[in-house]
Amino acid sequence: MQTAREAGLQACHVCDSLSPLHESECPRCYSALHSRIPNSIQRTMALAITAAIFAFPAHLLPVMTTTTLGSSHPSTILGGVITLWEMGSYPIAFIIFLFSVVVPLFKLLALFRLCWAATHSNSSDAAAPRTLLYRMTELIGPWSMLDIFVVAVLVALVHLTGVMVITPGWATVSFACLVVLTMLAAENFDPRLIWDRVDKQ
Amino acid sequence: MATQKIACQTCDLLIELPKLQPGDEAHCPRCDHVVAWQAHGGLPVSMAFLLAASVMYVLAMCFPFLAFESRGLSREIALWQVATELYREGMPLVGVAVGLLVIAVPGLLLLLHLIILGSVFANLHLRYLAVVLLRWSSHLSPWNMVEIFAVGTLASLTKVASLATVVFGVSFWAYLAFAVLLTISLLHFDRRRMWSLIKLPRAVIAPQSQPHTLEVQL
Repeated sequence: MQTAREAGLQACHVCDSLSPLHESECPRCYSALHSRIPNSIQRTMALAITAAIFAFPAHLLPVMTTTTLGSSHPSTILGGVITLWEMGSYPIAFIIFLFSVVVPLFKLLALFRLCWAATHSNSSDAAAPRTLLYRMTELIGPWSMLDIFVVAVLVALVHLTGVMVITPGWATVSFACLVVLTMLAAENFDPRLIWDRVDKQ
Repeated sequence: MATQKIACQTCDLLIELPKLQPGDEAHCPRCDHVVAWQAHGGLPVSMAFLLAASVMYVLAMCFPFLAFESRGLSREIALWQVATELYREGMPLVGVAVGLLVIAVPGLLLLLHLIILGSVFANLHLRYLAVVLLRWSSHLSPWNMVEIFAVGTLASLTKVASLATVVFGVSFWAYLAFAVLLTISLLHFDRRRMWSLIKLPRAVIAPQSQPHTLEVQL
């Protein structure tokens, strides 16, 4: 078994063609070439920590305010899930809970775990499951936007002045930042770093 | 056709990629990541679904999306109002994000792919333009959230269904169809094949190497 780097080659991250290590630009698609993403761990950690900070306002501030006949009811993301559960919409309550609470938390923990593994772990057996963890983090990333889209449709649709109005809350901004930052963090993580440690042994 | 040498994107293993048959999926022998696959339909199927998707996109943009009726009052919205209403209600950042992820990025991907695939089927050799369009296509793809918005719309309807009558507009059905058609078209868009159509301007000299042979899983 030989890696591309050991063979003196690097793959373009856009078009996948192989070039010698000394090339700085892909001869086919002109993208910047690098054998490993530069400062991958630092970038991923910085983005993931920022995302983790945004998680607090995202869950503590109201995501939307429902005004019915003059009385306002602000609700948080978790509050919305509880209301849906009490209304009997169990599948929707479960989906919103899964994508708004469980998935972002799972993504953040997975990113920290991967950064730790890429700098400290030497276990060769754990490399494959960690690669799978990375793939999952990347795949489920955008699905957290679901709750933002639900609020967007509700705000636009439910707007009968005097009867019922739904306005968006500040949690929408924090939550959108949280999702975008975790997606960027996953994009900046280089799973090849995990395998480099296996190769070194 | 000769075998092609590639590096696994997740573990950097050098792999000799065999000729794939439609329906084949090639896994990396070390980390099991899918390094290449051959769709059953390929580029013509991608183009067919893309054309259907573009019709649906136009319909989704031109007709009313949803209507909401309660106590004799009613409100009708267009698709783009999902983004502009957030902007108007004091959340401009989220409004811009929703507009980009739901309308602009999918629309741009549609346009890019129409030009790229159209040029392939019309035998036009757009070397520089094709490179630029393909690069944009791979950078934009992760930010295309049509299917998530479709699910989000359905979820929001269950929230308001008990409050009032919701009427589905032409745009609503067209957007659902657009989400499905675009997703299928992107699945059949064979990036490896598209890149292989672009010739290298100069020969790449590969140093001596012994690539690992790859087993193909059916």
